[in-house]
Amino acid sequence: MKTFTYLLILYFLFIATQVFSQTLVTGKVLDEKGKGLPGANISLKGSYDGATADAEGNFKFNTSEKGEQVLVCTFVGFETSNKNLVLNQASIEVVFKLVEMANELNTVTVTAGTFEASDEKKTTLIKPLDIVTTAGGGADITQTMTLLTPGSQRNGESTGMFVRGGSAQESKILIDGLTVQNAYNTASPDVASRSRFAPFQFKGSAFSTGGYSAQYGQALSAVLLMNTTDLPTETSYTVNANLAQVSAGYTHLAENHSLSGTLAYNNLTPLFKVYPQNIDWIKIPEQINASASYRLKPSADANFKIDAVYAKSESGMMFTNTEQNLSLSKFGIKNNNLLLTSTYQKALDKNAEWVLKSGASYSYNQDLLSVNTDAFEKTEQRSQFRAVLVKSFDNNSNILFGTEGHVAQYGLTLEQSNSDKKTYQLTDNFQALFSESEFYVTRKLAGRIGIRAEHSSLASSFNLAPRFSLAYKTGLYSQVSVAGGSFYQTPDYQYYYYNKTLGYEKANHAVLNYQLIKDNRTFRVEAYYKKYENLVREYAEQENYFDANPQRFPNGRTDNSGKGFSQGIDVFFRDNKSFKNGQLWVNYSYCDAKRLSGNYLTETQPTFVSNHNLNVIYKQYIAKPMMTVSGTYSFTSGRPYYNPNNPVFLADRTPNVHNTSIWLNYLTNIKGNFMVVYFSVDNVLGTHNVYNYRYSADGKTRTEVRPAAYRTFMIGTFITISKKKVLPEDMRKN
Amino acid sequence: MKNLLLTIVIVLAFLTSKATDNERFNKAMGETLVQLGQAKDLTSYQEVANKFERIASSETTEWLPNYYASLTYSLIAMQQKSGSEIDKYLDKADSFIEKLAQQKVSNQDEIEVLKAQIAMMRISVDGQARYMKFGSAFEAAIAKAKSINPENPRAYALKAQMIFYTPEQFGGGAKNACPEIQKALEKFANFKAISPIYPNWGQEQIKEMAKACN
Repeated sequence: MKTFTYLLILYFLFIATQVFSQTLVTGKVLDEKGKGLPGANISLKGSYDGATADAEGNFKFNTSEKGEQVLVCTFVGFETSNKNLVLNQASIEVVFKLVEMANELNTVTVTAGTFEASDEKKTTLIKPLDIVTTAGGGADITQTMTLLTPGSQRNGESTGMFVRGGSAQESKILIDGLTVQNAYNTASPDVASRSRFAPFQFKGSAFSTGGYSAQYGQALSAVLLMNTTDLPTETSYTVNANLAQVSAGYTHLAENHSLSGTLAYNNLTPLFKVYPQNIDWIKIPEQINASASYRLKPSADANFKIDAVYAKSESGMMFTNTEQNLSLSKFGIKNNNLLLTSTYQKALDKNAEWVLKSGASYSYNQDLLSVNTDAFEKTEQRSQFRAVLVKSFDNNSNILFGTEGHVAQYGLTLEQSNSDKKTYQLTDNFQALFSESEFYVTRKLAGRIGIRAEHSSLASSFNLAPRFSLAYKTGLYSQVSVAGGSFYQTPDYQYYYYNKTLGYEKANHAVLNYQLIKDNRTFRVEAYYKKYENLVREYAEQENYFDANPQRFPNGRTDNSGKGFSQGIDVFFRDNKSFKNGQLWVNYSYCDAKRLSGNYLTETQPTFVSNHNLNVIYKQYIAKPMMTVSGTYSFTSGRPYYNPNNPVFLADRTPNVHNTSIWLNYLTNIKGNFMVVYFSVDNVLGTHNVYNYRYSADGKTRTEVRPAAYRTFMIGTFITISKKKVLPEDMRKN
Repeated sequence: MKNLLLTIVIVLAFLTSKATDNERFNKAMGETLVQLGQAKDLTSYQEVANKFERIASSETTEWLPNYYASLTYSLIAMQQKSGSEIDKYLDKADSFIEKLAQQKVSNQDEIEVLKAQIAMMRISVDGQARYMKFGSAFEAAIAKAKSINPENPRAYALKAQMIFYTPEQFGGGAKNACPEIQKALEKFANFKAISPIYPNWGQEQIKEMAKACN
C-alpha cells in the first residue's frame, strides 16, 4: 500500500509537471493598418492547440508542446502567416500582422481602353447575355457592342464598326486570338450587313477601343476579341425559328468531349412582308449556314477545339448607281464562306506556371458580284497559325512570348461589257513576333509593357510597335490608367493591285482613363488622342475630282502620304442599383477627327465620323411572368457628306440619326424544356433617318441613302430540348 | 501486485497525459461538432471553423476535419448578405475542398454533396450570370454523389432544395420538388452514420420543406 501511495504521488507529480510545464501563448492579430482581426485562427502546427482571436484581435492559449515550434495564423481574406517559436518559458507573446489577399477592392486592374464581357470575372462590365437582351442590338455581337460601349459607332449605310474616328477596316475581329478575315456578310450597296457570328458561340469577349495589347496587330483602331465556348454542359437539341430564320442543332456530350452541329436556313421574305422596304429587292436575301464543332478536354489542364462554319448566300436588289447618273441598276451577290478554326491549350507543368495557347485557322471567301451585265469575282483565302507561351508568377504578374504567321491570297476577276476580262492576284506572307509582360509593382500600381514586330510581304518591310499601359489605384473604388503605343496595318489589299510599293499605315494612341466602381454603379471616362501617319492617298486623274462611290475600284495613282488625327472623350455609366431588377446604361462619346486619306481632297472630317454619339439602354427583369424588357435610344449627330455644289470639300452634314428600339423576351417551358419567345421593334417611332446623299454627275439631283426599312419587327422563338432541364440564366435572378 | 499497480499507474498516466491519437481525435471532433450544433452567430461559427482547421492541420490523414471546416465556412457564407462576402467565405470553403482532393477519402459522395452546396451558394450571388457555370457544376456534383452512393440522403435533399427555389414555369416550386423531397425523406429514414462524427445533417431542413407538400 505504501508503494501504491508512493506511486500515486509520483503520478500526480507527473501530471503536475505536465500542467506546470505548459506555456501560455498570448498575442494579437492585426491587419496592415494595426486594426485587430477578430476571428483569426492561431494554431500550433502539428497540434490541436490554438485559439481564435477575440473582438479586439487578442488571443491566448496554453500548450504543453516544447521546443521549436511553428505558430500559424490564418484568416479568411488574408495571407497565412507563420512564426517560429521556441517554447521553453512559462509565457510568450506573439504579434501577427496579416496582409490582405489580392482582391478586386485592393488590387488595380489594367483596363485602359478595354471593355470585357465574361461571366468569369466579377468586375466585368458586360455579360454575354447582354448581347441577346439589348434592344436595337439585333442579337448581333458587333452591333450590340457598339451600343453598350462608348467610342464606337455604326453607320447605317456601311458595314463594320467605326471606332474613335477610325474607318471600318481599322477594327479587327479575332476568335481565340485568330484574325477573322470576313467577319461580316458581304454587303449590298448602302446596306450595313450583320456579323457572321451566332450570339451563343462565345463565352466572352473583350472590346479594346484603343491602346490594346501587343498580342494583336494589323488594326489601327480597335480589336474585338472573342473566345469560343468550352465543353457544353449536356446533350441537347435546339430549335430556333423567327421571321428570318429556321435552324436546328444537336449537341452530343460524352465524358470529356462533345460534338455539335447546327443547320440554319435564312430567308428574309416573311420579315420583308411585315414592314414595307425602302429597297426594291429582286432576290430576297437567302442563306444556308452549316456549322460543326468538336470539343475535347483530355485532362484538366488541356483543351482542344475545332470549329467549322460554312455559309452560302444570295441576294439581289436595284440600287441607285452613282456611276450611271443615279439610275437604278441591278445588283446581285452570291457568297460562299468557309471558316475553320482550331485551338489547343495546355499547361506545361503541374502548377500551370507555363501555359501554351496555340491555334490555326483557314478561311475562304468567294463573292460573285454582278452590276447589270458586269460580273466580278472576288476571292480571299487566309491560312494562319498562332502560338503563345505564357509564364505566370505568384503575384498575378506574367510574361508571354508569341508568334503568328499568315498566308493570305486575294484574287479579283472583272468581266465588264465594255472591256476585256481582267484578273488580279496577290499573296501576302505575314509574320509577327511579340512579347508582353503584365506586372504588379504593388497592388496599387500595375503595368503592361509589350513589343510587337511584324513583316508583311505586301508592305515588304518590317515594323516594330511598342505598347504600354499603366494603372494606379487612387482609392478603394477608383483607379486611373494610361495606355499607348504604336499600331501598324498593311493597307487595304486592293491598293496593291496597282501599287506594290505601299508601306504600312500607322497610328499612335494615347489613352487616359478614370474608373469608379462602387455599389453596383460604374462610371468610366476616357480621353484619347490618336495620330495617323502614312495613310494611303489616291489621286484622281483630274485634279479636284472626288468620286463619292464607296465601291469604287482604286486603279489610280496612290502613295503613303496621308495623315490625320482623332481625339475625344468617351463616357460610360452603368447603374445596376437604382432600379430594382433593372439596369441602366448610358454612354456618350465626343469625337473630333480629321484626315487626309483615300481620295480625299483635303484634310477634313471623314464621312464615317459623327461628333456626338449617345446611347441610353434600360433593361428590366420581371419575375412573373418571367420576362426581360429592354429599350434603347441612340443618337448619332450628322456626318459629313459630299456635295459637289459646295466649294468646301465635305462641308455639309447629314441630319442627326435617332433610333428608339424595344426588345422583349418571355421565358417559359414546353414539357419541361426551356423556351424563349422574343419580340423586337427597331426604330419604334419610324423616324425617317437619312444616312447619306448621293449626287448625280452634274450635281443637279440627289437621292437619299435611307435604311432598308424605317421600322423593323422581329418575332421568334428558341427551344432547347434536353433530358435534364436547361434553366435560363434569368431564372436564378432572385 | 506491485508490478500490476505500477502498470496501472503507468497506463493511467499515459492515458491522461496523451490519450490514444484516435480517441483524442474523436473527442476533439465530437466536441467541436456539438459546438457547431449550438453555434448561433458569426463569432461562434468562426470559432468552430477554426477548431476544425486546427484539427485538420494536425491530422493530415483524416478527411473529416477538412470536410467540416469546409461545411462550416459554407454555413458562414449562408449568413452573409453581400455577394463579395459570400464569395470570400466560399473561396475559403473551396480551399478545404482542394485539400480533400489530395487526401484519401472514404466517403467521396459526401465531398460531392459539399461541392453541390457550394455551387448552389455561388449561384445565389449572381444567378443571372452564374447559372450557366455553377448550375452545371451543381448538377454534375449531385449526379456523381448519387452514382457513388445512391443512398446518400443529402444528395437528394440538396437537389430537392434546388428545385424548391426554382420558379414553377421551369418545373420548379414546392409541388415539383415534392417527389425529390419524398425520396430524400426515405433515404434519411434509412440512413445511419458510420460513426457519430461522420456526416449526418440536412434532415431538419428537408422536413421543413416537406410541410409544403401536404
